[in-house]
Amino acid sequence: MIVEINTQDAEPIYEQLRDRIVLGIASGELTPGEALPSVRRLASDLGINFHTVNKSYAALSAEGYLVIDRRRGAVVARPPSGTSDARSTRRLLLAAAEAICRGTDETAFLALCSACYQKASGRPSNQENGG
Amino acid sequence: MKELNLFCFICNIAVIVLCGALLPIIPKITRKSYLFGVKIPPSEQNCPEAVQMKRRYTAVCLIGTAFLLGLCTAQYLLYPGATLLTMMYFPFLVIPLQAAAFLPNWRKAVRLKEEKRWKVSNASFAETGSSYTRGTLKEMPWGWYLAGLAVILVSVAVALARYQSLPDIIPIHFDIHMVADGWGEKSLGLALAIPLVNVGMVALMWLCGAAFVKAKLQIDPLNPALSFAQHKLYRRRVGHCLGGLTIAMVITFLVIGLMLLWPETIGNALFWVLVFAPTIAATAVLVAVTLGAGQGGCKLKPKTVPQTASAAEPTLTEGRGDDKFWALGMFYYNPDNPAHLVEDRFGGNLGFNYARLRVKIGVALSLLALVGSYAWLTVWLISVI
Repeated sequence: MIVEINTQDAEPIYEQLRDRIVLGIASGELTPGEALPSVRRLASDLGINFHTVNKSYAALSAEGYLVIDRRRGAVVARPPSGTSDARSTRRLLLAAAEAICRGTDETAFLALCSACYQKASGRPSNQENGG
Repeated sequence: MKELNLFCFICNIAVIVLCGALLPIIPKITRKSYLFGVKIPPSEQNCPEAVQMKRRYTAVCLIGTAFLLGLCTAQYLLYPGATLLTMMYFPFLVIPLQAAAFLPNWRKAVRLKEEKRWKVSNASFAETGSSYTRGTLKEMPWGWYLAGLAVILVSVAVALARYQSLPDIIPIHFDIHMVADGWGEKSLGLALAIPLVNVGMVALMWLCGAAFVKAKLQIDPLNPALSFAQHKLYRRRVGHCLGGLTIAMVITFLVIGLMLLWPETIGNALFWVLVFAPTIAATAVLVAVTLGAGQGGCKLKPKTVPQTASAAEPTLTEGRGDDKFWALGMFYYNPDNPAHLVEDRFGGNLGFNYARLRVKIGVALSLLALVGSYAWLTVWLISVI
């Protein structure tokens, strides 16, 4: 999977990296059991500090997306299914609040949520299919 | 002495002509996303201002080359005795020449980007399945280096076999007409000196090859997967060229070693062809492949591009972006980047990340060794002349 981060973005780099890996797991580009690059190599390839990659891996590990194996390094884990953590709920709540502020009605917001869900899971959405 | 001066003068002219021919090519092989060390939108590469800057760069290079040729000729005609010294110092004049051609254009490019408010992508990329650096030493074309060492082993065996039949006094130095003018007592160290130099040369070339495969190359934000495929092809091709050059240089030293073991062959022109031809040919191939591939292989068209999901549409931002890490558009200094070797922003070379401690120590030691050896050589040459 290609990981892209933008050093000029207002969003912290460790969060960009964390989000990209979560997107990769959701879309199936990263599969459970797959080893991620070492902290040193990923930092070197992206041209960012070791500590930034370490912070992302630590956050992903704490959230259950990665398992830090002593021999294999960071390995993709399968998070407990059907659960939603407080962080995700907070982010979704914020997205809903922003939609309300912009005047998006509930139906349009739910349609957008559905399209995003399908895109994140790596399946083409109905809208992209013209359906 | 006259012949030696003439030989040095021809070498000086050849170096200047070669530099004069190569310097104007540099903007042509550089990635389209860079204009004199400044990151720009690739679509603006041929805007009128950029075209004018490239023309000025070429003009300064050509005028500078003509000036250096004149200077070199004047030195040879007025002070022919100093031609050997000139050969030592003249290549360094290419540095101010390139600076004079490059730096004003770099300043203009910085201003142009600011005035036109060009937006560029400052994204960085990595691939989780492969890497710029992982496993690269395995990917090196080891065959060339191992073959080189095998040839050296054979040359050691030949030297040892010949050692018994060598006369007690053997020639170790020759004048310009290849007539022996220095003699030394036969010793095992003397017989094995050239193979030892050859091993050192292979080690040095291996280091160059390793540095080349480990260096970080740039990614095109619009098509990262293509960039990865281009890098792979580029590394393979240039890696083989470096390996070929290593073998050519091994042959050069091998033939010199054999000539010293059989001094009667020194006058034979065929042996001298064997000394120079392989290295010149391998260097020409390396230069041709590098120029044809473009910076980091950006001109290559790989047959297969990995089917990885493409990155998201790149975010374009205004401002200096990562230009701020490039002092004078030439020297990379980014303390956060762990990489030691990075792709230059002008030409197909690799450059250092000067923020890394190991680079600082390495550059300082190299400069010290260069200045020290030059000072010693200069003093010695002046005393001889």
